[in-house]
Amino acid sequence: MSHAELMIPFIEAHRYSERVALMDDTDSLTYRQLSEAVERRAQNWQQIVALHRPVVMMLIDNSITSVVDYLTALSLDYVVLLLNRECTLATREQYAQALTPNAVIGDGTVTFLHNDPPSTDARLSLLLSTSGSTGAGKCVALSQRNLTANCDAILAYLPIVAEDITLATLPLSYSYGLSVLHTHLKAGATICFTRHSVFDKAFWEVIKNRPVTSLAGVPSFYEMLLRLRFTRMTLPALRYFTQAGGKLAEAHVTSLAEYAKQTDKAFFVMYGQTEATARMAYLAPHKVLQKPGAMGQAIAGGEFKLTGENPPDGEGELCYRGDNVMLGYVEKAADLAAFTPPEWLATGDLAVCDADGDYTITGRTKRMIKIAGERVNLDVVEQAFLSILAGQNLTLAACVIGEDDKLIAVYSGELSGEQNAQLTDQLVKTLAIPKRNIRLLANVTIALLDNGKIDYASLARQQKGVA
Amino acid sequence: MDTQQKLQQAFSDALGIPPEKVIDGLTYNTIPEWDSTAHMVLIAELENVFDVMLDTDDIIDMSSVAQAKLILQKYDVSFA
Repeated sequence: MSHAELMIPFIEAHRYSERVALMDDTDSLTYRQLSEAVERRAQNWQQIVALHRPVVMMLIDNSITSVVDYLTALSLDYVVLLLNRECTLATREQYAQALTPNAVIGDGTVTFLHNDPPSTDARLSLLLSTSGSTGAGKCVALSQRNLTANCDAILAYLPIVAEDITLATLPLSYSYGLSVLHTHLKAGATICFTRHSVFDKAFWEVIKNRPVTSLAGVPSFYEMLLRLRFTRMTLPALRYFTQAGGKLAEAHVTSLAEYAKQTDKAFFVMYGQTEATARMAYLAPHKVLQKPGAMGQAIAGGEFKLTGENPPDGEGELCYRGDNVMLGYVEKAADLAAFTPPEWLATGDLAVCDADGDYTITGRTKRMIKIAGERVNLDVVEQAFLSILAGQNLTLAACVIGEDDKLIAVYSGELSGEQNAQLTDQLVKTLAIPKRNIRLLANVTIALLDNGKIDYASLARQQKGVA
Repeated sequence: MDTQQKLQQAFSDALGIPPEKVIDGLTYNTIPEWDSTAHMVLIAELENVFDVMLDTDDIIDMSSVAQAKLILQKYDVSFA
């Protein structure tokens, strides 16, 4: 393949544009320069990897060179497992063993591993981890069609224009962060990176001086902004901001919506999952003040239904159908060979639908919480907690409950302060969950249901307001 | 508890570190326990304990224990 024929996804329409595509704290790249960088890197990599459609493990961060890596791999039709560069060595090793990649790519460099041709489904393009930076969870397999469909559907409702400068604060290894990249590249807009956090002065200098016209964030991001009195800031260039990745407290949604209204900006509350590439729904900005708990309606080309509805409020499991529904899950190399995509994606979320057709998430079917925006399966944590107890020869009845950002490990009986501190430390180490999100509760009676299973619902009710 | 102890306790609670590790030289982003999420918890804790409402610039400037003392003094919290 000569480099002139290389098709670069998302940016074909403006690959020779002199507009700035990517910017970080020190450098920038126009669309033309970005295209040239991708072409050069593609030529280099083809010297190293002779295989057709190799499986590569790519470690990325929010940097210009990572975007060049990513676009190069997609242009060459590689099967890309995208990992956060900050993930632990153990996580990388687990994925390397499970998926036997042909090469590891990071920071513009290819490390060749082996030449065995992988057997992959022709539609497969991208693998995203479902567990963020904590551990090696199963991967979501996505096709180019998934990426394109979701990108186009998002561009149909978010007011992204070529003159925009967005600040990409979400990791690109996370589906929401990646969707911000895709949509802005497709629109020919500017994506700005910064190594500064919201609590650094330099972050706000970037916002004011670029100036940034849109922001995207998960609940914890907006909690920080509100703590910083975001709603008192004068940011004339900021046109709109979006929130997804979990439910933001209604009081916060209302504060942000009021700020948006007063300052003539738009606030989009959205809903999605990596299993649906990123986005499934959004709430029309003019409805946010009126329905601060809702997440709205399916994006263009998508459709919702509720299954197993319970009267009287009609709560049921939310299912979604559309071209952005994943090919399937991957846990090991053999899973890459063929996929049977589900027609309807069962989200695992419980929802209700109002008379206007707007959906509100009301709970989850699985024992799953989010900590700092990352999924944590309570059953997995409970197993870890039980084996830690067993490892210390502590024979106690124990289990794990929780809500978002709060993991509660409960046990019957009482332990010393020192033992508690040790247990917490071990949980922090084993699960890579920050200490501040973990509580230990002693002297809890763990009641069982008739079927012998732990009555988690009554435990959760008991602990509400206690922990 | 005097204000110095209250400050130490607030840092200790918010960052999840022992009170004896809360010294003037302790600085934001230099220990894993004091990252941006912990910073938010810390600000909430300080506002509660000292019953103040910090300005944006003060929240951003509060990058060390010593700095926190200086800033809180602007809000009429005195450290003997």
